[in-house]
Amino acid sequence: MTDNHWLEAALAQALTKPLTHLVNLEQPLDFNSYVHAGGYMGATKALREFTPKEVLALVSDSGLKGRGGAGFPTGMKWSCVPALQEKPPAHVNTEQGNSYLICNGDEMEPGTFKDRYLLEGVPHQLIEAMIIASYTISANKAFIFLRGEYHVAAQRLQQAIDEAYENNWLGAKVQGTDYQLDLYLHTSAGRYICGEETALINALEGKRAIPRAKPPFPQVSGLFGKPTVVNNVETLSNLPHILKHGSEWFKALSPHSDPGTKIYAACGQVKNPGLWELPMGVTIRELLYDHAGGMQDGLQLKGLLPGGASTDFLTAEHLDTPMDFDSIAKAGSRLGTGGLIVLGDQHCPVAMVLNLLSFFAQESCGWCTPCRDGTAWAVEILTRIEAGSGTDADLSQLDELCDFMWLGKTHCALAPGAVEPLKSAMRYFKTDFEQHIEQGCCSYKKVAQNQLGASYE
Amino acid sequence: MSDNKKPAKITIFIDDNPYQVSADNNLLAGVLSNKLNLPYFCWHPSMGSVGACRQCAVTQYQDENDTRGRMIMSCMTPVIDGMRIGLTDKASAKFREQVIAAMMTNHPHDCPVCAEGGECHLQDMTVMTGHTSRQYCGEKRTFTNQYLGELVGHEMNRCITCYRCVRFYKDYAGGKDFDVFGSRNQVYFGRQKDGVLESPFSGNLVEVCPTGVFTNKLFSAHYTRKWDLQSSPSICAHCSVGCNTSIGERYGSVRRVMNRYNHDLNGYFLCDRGRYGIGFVNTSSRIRAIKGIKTKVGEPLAGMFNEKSFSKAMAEHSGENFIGIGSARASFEGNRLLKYLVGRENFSLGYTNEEMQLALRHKQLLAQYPQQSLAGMENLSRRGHGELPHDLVLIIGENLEQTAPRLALSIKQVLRNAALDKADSIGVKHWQDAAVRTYASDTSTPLFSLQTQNTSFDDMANGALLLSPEKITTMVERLTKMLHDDFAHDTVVPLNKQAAEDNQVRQSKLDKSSESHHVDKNADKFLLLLARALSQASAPLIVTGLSLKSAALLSAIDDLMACLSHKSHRIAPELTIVAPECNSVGNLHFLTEYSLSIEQVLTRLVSVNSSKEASKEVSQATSLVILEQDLAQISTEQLNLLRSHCKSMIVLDHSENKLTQLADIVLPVAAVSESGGHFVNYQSNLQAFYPAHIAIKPIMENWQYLVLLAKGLFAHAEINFTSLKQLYSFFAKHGEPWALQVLTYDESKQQQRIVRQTHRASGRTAMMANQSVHEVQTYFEDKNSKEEMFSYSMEGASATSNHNMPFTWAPAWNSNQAILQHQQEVNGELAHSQHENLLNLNLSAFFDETPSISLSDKLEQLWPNQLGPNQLCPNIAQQTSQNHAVVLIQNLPWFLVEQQSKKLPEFTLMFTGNSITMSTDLAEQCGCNAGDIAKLVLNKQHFFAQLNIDEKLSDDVVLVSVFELDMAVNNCQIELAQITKANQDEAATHAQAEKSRIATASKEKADTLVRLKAQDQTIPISFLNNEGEQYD
Repeated sequence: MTDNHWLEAALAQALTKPLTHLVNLEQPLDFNSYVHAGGYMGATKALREFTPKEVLALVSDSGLKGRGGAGFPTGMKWSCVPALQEKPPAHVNTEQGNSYLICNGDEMEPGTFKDRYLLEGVPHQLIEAMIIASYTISANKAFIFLRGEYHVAAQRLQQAIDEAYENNWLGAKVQGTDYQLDLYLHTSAGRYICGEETALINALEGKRAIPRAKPPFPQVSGLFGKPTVVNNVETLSNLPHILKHGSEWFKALSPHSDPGTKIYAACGQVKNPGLWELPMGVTIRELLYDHAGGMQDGLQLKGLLPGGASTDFLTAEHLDTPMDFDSIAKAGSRLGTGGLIVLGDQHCPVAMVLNLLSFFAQESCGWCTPCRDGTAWAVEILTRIEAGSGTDADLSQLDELCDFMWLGKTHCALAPGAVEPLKSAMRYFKTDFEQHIEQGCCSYKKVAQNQLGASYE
Repeated sequence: MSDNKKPAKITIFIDDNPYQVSADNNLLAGVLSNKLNLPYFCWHPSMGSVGACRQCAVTQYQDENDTRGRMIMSCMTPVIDGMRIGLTDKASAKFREQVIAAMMTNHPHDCPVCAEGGECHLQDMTVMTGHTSRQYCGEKRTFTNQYLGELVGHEMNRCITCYRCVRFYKDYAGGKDFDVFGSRNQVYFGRQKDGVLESPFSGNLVEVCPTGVFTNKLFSAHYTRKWDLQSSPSICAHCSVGCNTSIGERYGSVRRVMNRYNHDLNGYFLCDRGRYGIGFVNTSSRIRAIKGIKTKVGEPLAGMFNEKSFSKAMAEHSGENFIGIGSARASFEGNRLLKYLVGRENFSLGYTNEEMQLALRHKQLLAQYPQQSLAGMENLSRRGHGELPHDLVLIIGENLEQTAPRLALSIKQVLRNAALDKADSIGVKHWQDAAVRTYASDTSTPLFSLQTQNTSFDDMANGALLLSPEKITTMVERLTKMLHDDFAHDTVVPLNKQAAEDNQVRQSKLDKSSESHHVDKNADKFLLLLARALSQASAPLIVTGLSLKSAALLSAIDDLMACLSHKSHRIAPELTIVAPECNSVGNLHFLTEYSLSIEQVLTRLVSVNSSKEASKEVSQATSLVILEQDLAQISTEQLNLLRSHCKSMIVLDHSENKLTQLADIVLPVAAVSESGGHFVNYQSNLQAFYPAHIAIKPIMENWQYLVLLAKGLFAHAEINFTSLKQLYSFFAKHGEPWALQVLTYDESKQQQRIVRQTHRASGRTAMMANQSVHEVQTYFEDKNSKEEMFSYSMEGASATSNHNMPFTWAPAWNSNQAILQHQQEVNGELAHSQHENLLNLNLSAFFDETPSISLSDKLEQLWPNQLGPNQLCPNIAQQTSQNHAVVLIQNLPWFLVEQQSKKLPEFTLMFTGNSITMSTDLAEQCGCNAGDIAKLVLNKQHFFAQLNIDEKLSDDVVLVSVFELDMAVNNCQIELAQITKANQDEAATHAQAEKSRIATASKEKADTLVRLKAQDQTIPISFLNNEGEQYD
């Protein structure tokens, strides 16, 4: 599949779509093709020309922010690893693993599928990225924690890892340097909470997937108590290109926004669901109408979740908001994973929120009270409202629950994430909730039933 | 022993008022230390913080001008000088109520039928947050409960998912068969499948659980509310640790034992033997009538006690001369009085010659090495205040989980010292439990263990060897020699590679020396490793005990301690010696050169019978008074010999045993729950226990019977005490320091008597409402108890006004968590502080008088043991040809090793069957395979057990776990030929016996319950008055 034509076209986009230009979902590039396409140049540069500290400086300077949802600056995250501050050797001492790198590939956020695209489409890019990151934080062991359902990705990653070992990009004395790196693929047993980095670490250790209290942060006490950095697939995938083309190039990709490109996605009631690598900061309108083809026929936009299930609803009034961390936050939501979930006006927002909350209640790890009992309680109330047996008191109880599960009150961000769509839905779609209670039924279903009923009669 | 160095205090502002808090604990502990009400669930004062329940939220403000603040979990927040928090602010108060509301979505409304009701932390916290009405309308989640054994009940629907149970069972106590399962609001705490909880600490789940998920099954079966219990402060009688307990009684029967906080000893936790073992006082094995004395009309003197008949009967024996045999499970006072009555030349501790020598060695070591409290071992009073925590643990020849389970639990915490130190290195506070365990999960304080049998510590040990008792002694001697040589040459045992060669030289030396010792290479490796670790350690802890009955071992350990303690080594070793029974160390006080061994008692009795030419003094001894003594170490045959040579045998005991069967007169004395006195624990700490109720006569406290005997048998007119206080005054007047000590210790406390009953008893006309509603004149009050510190009433000083708290309670805190309201600060000493009341063990008699003779020679002179260790007891070996000699090691589980608690039917039901364990070689020699039924012949008695193989066992050791074997056989030599394969008939009989043991225990359990419940309904009011004679 790696005919020159394809490669030529791909390489033409290397500087504008660094993350995805080499993606080939049908048959990802094998080691040689990847190298032929310019792969492992970033890693070569890092290992041969940079000390770990210099890589860190470069990445910090690039302004790369985490693409897993929180948008935390990657360089800053790395700089918290104690070994870095103490001894920045030109060649990392390989005798003992001082720290670990973990790639968070547990992509379970509803409406989000960008990492899968990279994992299945260009696995070597991730491996190259992890070599760079591991080298920077003095890690001799790295792990890919992969969502269990991503079995195609698992196959392709394992093949790529094997190739990397064969070609001395992994194992002892990487490319003739003193640096040693072993990379392991771990497929998750499947819990949403494993996307939380400390729960992921616990799961990787074979413990219950429960988030840890911070501090200490994983950079200090992570996997098996050792300094550990957990980065998202997409975040890491930027590294080879930053190494290759420099931080200035990276920043120039999106001059008016957060640096770099972002893989945006759209799903739900749009004409053309999918994902697109675009400069950071395109507007929602551009994404929804230019790329996703606008709403499905006959539907008006009711609302959308900008970055996965755990972000606040935005509505038509926010269409011109740029999709970057700050702008979306100003609009009252979060960029999250940058995957739009779009709701049309013919579908019940209460039902949608109930669906989302059921997911969160199901995926609560059960550690802290607000999340464990609060999400389930919200589901109980929403179920009744949706079924038409809700009361006004239920609405105020839902408000109470939103307050109860908010940030700072829970052990991790799962419950606040669940609150985001619920609270915003109750704000933007208040009348829908009220109608359910007043009419004793879901008006959307009534319409649907009436239509059905008419056809049957 | 308490540390005067107080932890640094800083000032924080709570609702704008300044408070002093400890800098090294979290905010929640600081708030609670100031006796402010802040609810919590998942945090535990001893187990630290994990931040799960979110109940202890407060608002933190930046400064005086910050009015919004942000919410924090106080248990997860370190205190900072000047920090400002809000406790009563609307936001955090509302959130705390919301947490309860959320927990209540699944908590059933079954408080009226829940065993926890009335002392439920969840109830308290619910009220504290003001949550009074339910908003949740949905269905509640339900679970299937599990059978967790005889001791702990399980009702998962009540669970509020605080994770305390699993944190205690797994993390704190090291249990492996209990865990947390599932997720979201379906989290389940239990076992993988139904089955008996394996940990000897499972009963703590009852106290650790903030609500009624885990309940005390024995208490639930014969249940009463906490507020209806009459309680007393007691001391556990089931091992030498002396854990402080609170015994609860109602309608004349003991209902339960709860932990009684003692900062220095048990802290918040008991072992299950201590918690449940007390049930023996309710079983049918109790002696409730005087045996051997007839009344005028020829009836046995049962039921009421009639002093006239008693005195008359005693007068018949007044011409005889008595030897008194005390015991290590009787109170200190009982032993003292008995010794006074018979005189020191006629007093025996019930020890054999061998045991006398052992006891003296024990006494000598105690005098030399002050024993640390459990808190001292765990470094609880010192953490963070400069002193060194133990950095190595060496356990020698004592299976702690059998003989002193609570101490074993403390050792498990000592093993965390290294992890805590590691946590220090990244600034993780010790109370951040999850963070410490995450960061330092692989770090454990070095542990070495030299044992005869597998123990629960083997997994954690850097080195663990199983050897015969004799070889353990040799190992200790060799270790001392190695260390001595190293220290002498100033060559600390090599640590690095370059010194490996030295090692080899040493190794070859050892190889040569080991030829004679026949210790294999494993042992050499172990020794090298241990010697290296010891020379690196700065505060090693050595733990041993008397289980192996080896005076040689104690003396070898003495040498080891001496070597380690040498000033120049900068090592501060500590030695802990586990004593055999609850008052063994108290007995050491009475151990003088005049004390008689059992052999000497027998000799005297025999000489009276066989020869009239014996010396006057000896010929006078004709009879025995035996106080709460089993003489379990000697065989039935020998007991009969003893019996046949004494004119009369008067036994004072509370439960049936072999001696009560043989005695002429049996006087039923009160068990620990019905009597007062002191036990002296392994540290030689005199600890007082008080009766929870007064038993119905003729059961009386041991000293009361001894006072009667003083009149009737011994013509000691001066012994006429009607209270223990008078007894103390008497001995104080005689210049006995301990008595003065006890008196001053008591006097330091307030004068008003302390209540045993709860406030609810103010409605005392209703206390007997099942029969009559009328004023029962101060329940159980009689003239004897007027001088006691505690009253059988709710009137008087509060139960918590003394460190000996009958029960724990504080306004708004009805559960055991109320204890935090009575500590000086969280985890600190009690507000009415306690200090150890150490007994001075005087050794002058042995060292000062005849300095020319070595101690061992002197001991051999006093209590000759030349016939070898098995002179009296284990004449068990049938032949003396030592060709195939093996050593028996007692290996009963923790619930069957102590004679009193063994009588609890529930413990019998927990026993999985007799077993004998040995190596493959030995099994082959016996002609047995694993799983066969083996026959063990001891003293013409046959015992049957399933044969197990354990490759790790030493080739000269056989572990026996045989229920019926009530002789103390630890470290007895037998011929291997005494173990054979049982034939088919014998195996069938054995299977039948095992079944019938279970059936008997089940019946005993059921019958006891029926009897107690009947007693609840029919207990005559007159009995309560306890003046039996007037109602004849």
